[in-house]
Amino acid sequence: MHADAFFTRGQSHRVCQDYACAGASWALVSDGCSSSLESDWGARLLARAAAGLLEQRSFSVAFTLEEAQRMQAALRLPPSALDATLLCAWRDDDVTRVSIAGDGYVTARRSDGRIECWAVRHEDGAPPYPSYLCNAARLSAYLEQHGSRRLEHGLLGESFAFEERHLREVPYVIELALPVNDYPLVAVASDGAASFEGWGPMRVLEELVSLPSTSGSFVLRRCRRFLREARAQGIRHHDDLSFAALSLS
Amino acid sequence: MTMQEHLLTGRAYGFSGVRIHDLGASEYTLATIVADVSGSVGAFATDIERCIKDVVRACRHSQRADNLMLRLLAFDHELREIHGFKPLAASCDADYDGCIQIRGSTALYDASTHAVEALGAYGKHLSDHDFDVNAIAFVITDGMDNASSASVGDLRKAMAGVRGSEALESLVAILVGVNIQDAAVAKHLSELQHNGGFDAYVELASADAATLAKLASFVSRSISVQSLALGSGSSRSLSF
Repeated sequence: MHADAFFTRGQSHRVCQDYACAGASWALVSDGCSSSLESDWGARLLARAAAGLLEQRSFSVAFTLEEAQRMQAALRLPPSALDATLLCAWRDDDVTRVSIAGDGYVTARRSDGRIECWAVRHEDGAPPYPSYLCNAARLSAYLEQHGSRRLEHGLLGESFAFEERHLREVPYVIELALPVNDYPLVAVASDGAASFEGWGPMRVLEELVSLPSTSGSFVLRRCRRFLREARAQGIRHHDDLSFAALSLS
Repeated sequence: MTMQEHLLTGRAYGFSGVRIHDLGASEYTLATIVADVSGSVGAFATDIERCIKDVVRACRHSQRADNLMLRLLAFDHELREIHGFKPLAASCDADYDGCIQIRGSTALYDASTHAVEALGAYGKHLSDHDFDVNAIAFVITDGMDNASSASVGDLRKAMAGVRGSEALESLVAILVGVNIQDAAVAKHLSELQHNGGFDAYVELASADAATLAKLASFVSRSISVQSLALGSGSSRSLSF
């Protein structure tokens, strides 16, 4: 079992608001909201809080928020700094659990070699940040103004099934449990995968998850190679990109 | 750290390199030193050994130490891999004690061709696993080839093949003539630089301790400079 992570600034961003990290049995990405002040800090605080809990095998979005809020207050950052998505994948005995708070992508290589993908998108590109759960007024305003979520699921290269529901009707945080025997590799990515000019997110994810090996800095190597090849073809991503993978083999 | 054996297509000798699973960095400069240990080198074998130790020590302290791998070859009429491609952090001076064992004649073309082909093959192996790789080779000799089955043309072809492939970002190959006091040898090696595809020929008139210490400094600095060029798409080399 091994995990690795990578994040990089998009062309239209002055500061990278994505963050990614990985431990021995977990991997995560966090994408700070572009329009919230200091959300680059927030993405990191959420990620560090989640990382600590994942190391202790006691992860939950609620505990992560509590810890991240303590750090945010200590650093005197505005509460909206924590407006960031959080996608985590971690090994829990026979399954890999995935938590999606906000938007982004989950890809999993099945034991037959095919790639399964879950894409979570939100109306107007406004995802339900977990930080809204800390503030009833913000949560209410969000659910009134936005709140429609589209979950697509399928195999790369095939048509996807999808469901579009209002967030009031479905759990705020999406959770998956993927049997380790059926899914030897699970990866999470921010919505930066959808920001490549001329390339759809599925193509980008297919390239990113085409990992020739899963040792050492395997995600860093894959992402750097992919981005270089994309640049050589004149393809750039305007949004920040984060990608993290957990190999269960 | 586990070494893995690799075969070279159509060649009697293969090479070894650290297996992918044991590599922590995302990019590497592969350095190969090919040392002539034929009979004529006997007078300064100890200084050559010290020179190699100096190179390894300097590279271990380089800012790029985590991104360097070294392979050391000795040749006379045969080729001997003292060690395969491995990170320098895994090396110590004692590993090189007695590494220069003087024997027979000089298969210079064979050794050079093999070294370049192995750089290409291991570079491709790493590149296939998404590592960024460039390479630098030093062939150190005191004389003319008199025992190779490969020709200068084979060497040139190997150089062109490796440089033309996309596996290595760049390859710098430097031929070093040590204790060159015979004009015919100097001419032979100078021609080999051009006809064999070396980027440079460094000629040293003596093989005393001071000269070989300077050579060690040149080799280690060249390795570091080539490593710093990794990612730029070009190669860099120094003057002696």
